[in-house]
Amino acid sequence: MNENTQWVREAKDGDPEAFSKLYEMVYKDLYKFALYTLKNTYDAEDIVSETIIAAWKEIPKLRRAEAFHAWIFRILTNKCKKRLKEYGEKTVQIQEELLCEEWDVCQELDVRKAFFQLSDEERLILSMNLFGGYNSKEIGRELKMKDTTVRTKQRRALKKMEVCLRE
Amino acid sequence: MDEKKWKEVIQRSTRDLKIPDSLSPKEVKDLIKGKSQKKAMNFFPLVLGAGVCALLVFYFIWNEERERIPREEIVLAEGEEEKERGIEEEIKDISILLKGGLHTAKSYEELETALLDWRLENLRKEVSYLEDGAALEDGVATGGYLPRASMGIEEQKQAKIETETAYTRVENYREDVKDDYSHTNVQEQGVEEGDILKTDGSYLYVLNREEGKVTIVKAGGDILKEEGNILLSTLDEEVEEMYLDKERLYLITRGTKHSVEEDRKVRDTYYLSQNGYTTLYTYDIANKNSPKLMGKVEVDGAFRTSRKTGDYFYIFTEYTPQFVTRYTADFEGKEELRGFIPLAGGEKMPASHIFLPDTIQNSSYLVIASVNVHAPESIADSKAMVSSASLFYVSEENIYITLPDFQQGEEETQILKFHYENGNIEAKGAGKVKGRLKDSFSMNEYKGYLRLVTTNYTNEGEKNSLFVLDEQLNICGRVENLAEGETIQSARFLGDMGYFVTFRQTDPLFAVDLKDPNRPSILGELKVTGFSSYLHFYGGSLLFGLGYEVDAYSGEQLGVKLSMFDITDPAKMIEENRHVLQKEYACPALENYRALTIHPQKNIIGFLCGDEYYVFSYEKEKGFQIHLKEKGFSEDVRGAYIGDIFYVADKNKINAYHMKNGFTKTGELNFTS
Repeated sequence: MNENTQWVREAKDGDPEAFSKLYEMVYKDLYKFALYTLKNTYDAEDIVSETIIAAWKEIPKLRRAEAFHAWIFRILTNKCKKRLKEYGEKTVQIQEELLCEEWDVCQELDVRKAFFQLSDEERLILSMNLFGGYNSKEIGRELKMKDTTVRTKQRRALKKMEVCLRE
Repeated sequence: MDEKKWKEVIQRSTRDLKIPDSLSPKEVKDLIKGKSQKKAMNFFPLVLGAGVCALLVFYFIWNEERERIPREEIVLAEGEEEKERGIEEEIKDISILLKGGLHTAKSYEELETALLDWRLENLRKEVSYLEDGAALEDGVATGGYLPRASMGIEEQKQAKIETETAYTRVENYREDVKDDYSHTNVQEQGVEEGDILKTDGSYLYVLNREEGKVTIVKAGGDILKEEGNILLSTLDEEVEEMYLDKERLYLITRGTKHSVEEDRKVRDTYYLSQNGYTTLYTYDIANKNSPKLMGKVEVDGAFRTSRKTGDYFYIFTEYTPQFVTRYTADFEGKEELRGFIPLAGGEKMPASHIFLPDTIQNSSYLVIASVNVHAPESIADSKAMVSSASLFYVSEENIYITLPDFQQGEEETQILKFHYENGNIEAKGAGKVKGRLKDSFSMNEYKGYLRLVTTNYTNEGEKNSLFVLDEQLNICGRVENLAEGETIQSARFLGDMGYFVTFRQTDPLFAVDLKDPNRPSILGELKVTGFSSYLHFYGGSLLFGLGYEVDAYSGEQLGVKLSMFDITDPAKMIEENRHVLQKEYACPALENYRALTIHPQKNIIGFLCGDEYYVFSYEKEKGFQIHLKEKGFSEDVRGAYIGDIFYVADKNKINAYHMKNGFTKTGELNFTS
């Protein structure tokens, strides 16, 4: 049994210390995922804390300790999907501070900008892949589409970014 | 730039991202400290310090005051009524009866489309992945999430306390006294069931399933002599069941067909398909020395079960159509369906005979085919339904098929009803009740009403219910929340009375609701240690139970238990006597009621336990007495009697014992191979 699964066991038994250790391993990616999907720091912060609380409550039901990583990203994915649905058709204004802060390197800023040009679905797919560590098959199952479709969409999204950055 | 590089660029863009302080692990630890967790229900321990079972009696009140329950609470969701045009009258009636729940296929194309849609949907949500927290909506498990409670059922299965029970109806309590020989123990008098040992009072017919061989033995009195045998000519089929009817013997076999087909478009691509089929063989056994094959008929699908009523066989199979994934040039998989129409008697079943549920749960078909014994080479009628099937209960007029379902975290049982008469099979209705059925004996039809007892595994623990359904399968009476924390182990109905045994898994407290007299009400309750997982009426006022004895404190199973209950006064039932076969646990009769030979008129109860075949008798004063305890039989052993001789037979041999003479052994016959 490795350390992680031990922590999962302890967290299942209600140990906040063990849970925060597990959280420490994933929280950066959780936030990146949420931010890149939702394009908004407040929403990202909000959704990540909601995810943590849900995970803490539900962890006693987690059957396979090894599945913790995929499981918590699953909660996050569903929450993001729901939030995106709430956004509906309205366009969300990209926060200024996300695009121009002192730490911004030109290229990074542009990349983020380009990423935010993508559709909700494209951002979600890429976030799942890049931050959640899902492969196209897993994304397909989650979003109810074929893995080949996921790959096509991913390819198209990256292409879109490329075009956007060239302009 | 390639994909990988792009991904790296995106990753890099997040490098210096500032993460809000509120999300730091330290903050989060404090955040969750104040929040309680949802505790998962424990797996059911085998038994927790309460090895006590309760025997409950129900009385069905058949009057007009029976509570009517609004229709929307019941039956499959109402949908649009199918407007059937140009389809025969009978079908029209069915579609009205089966409101919304299912309809007959209008064409093969409709079937094919429905199955392919199901396939695609299913491919999308293949279950293998991420066992944990399936559809986590809003962080809370819903939908496909398997609640702990249903895992308890698996646990229970492992605990091997499941079995089947027998039933005899009061007015049907005939036990064919005119025949001085035994019949296979069946669920419903008047509905025959196949088995591996049959007798007609002069001969014993012993089936060796693996070898596809029936040995015909002249028996009765001092005679025990091999007269002839039947050997199935095909080696790739296995015999499932044997029936006997005067001068005819029937075998039902299971086989698998393999076929290879070349792709029409892409050469050198072959598709291998496997299809189960079931065959009914009819033999003329007028001459025991040389039985003759009179005919055979095939139905597609793997054998599930069969019944015979009067001159007709009813065969139930499960047919699984094959999906093939063909790849196009750009490697997009395309699903295709092959052989999706089951054959019955070599002919494709008409679309109008195939029922299609509005929501397909499973791509396999349940096939029901009837055969007239006088026309052994053809199918009299056949109906199919795109559905799985769990339990089969066949009354003298109707076929009830159940399938467990799961709705919003609650277990449900769907029930499908087919009426049968002289070989015609007609869909009658569909309904559903909460909870799941223990076995087919949890169902019983009486005066057109179907009575059911179910156990519902909820997050709050187990709850049991009793339902009375009318002819259209509308719930017309019920008692719910019975015996909380216990599960139904066996049930049996006798006319207006119903008996069932519940067993406590976790909660030592017991509660029964019997407030409303207009509902089926509980008349009595008896608690004893251990439990019966099989019940059989033993003469007028006695109920025999076979099950396990359990230590009331440790919950440990102590052995196989025989109980005799006096049910003269339902309010004061008594466990009159009991006998425990200490440290015996393996008892095939508890899993297959046909393996039990029980005849109150001869006062014999015979079954295999451990590696010994036992025959008991019962008297109030003396309790259970062992008359025979014999080793040397295989697990598939049966008992039978002709006159005063009791026979114990397996695939290798028959032993004969004189019942009036202290079960002294009078003969032994080893079969020639």
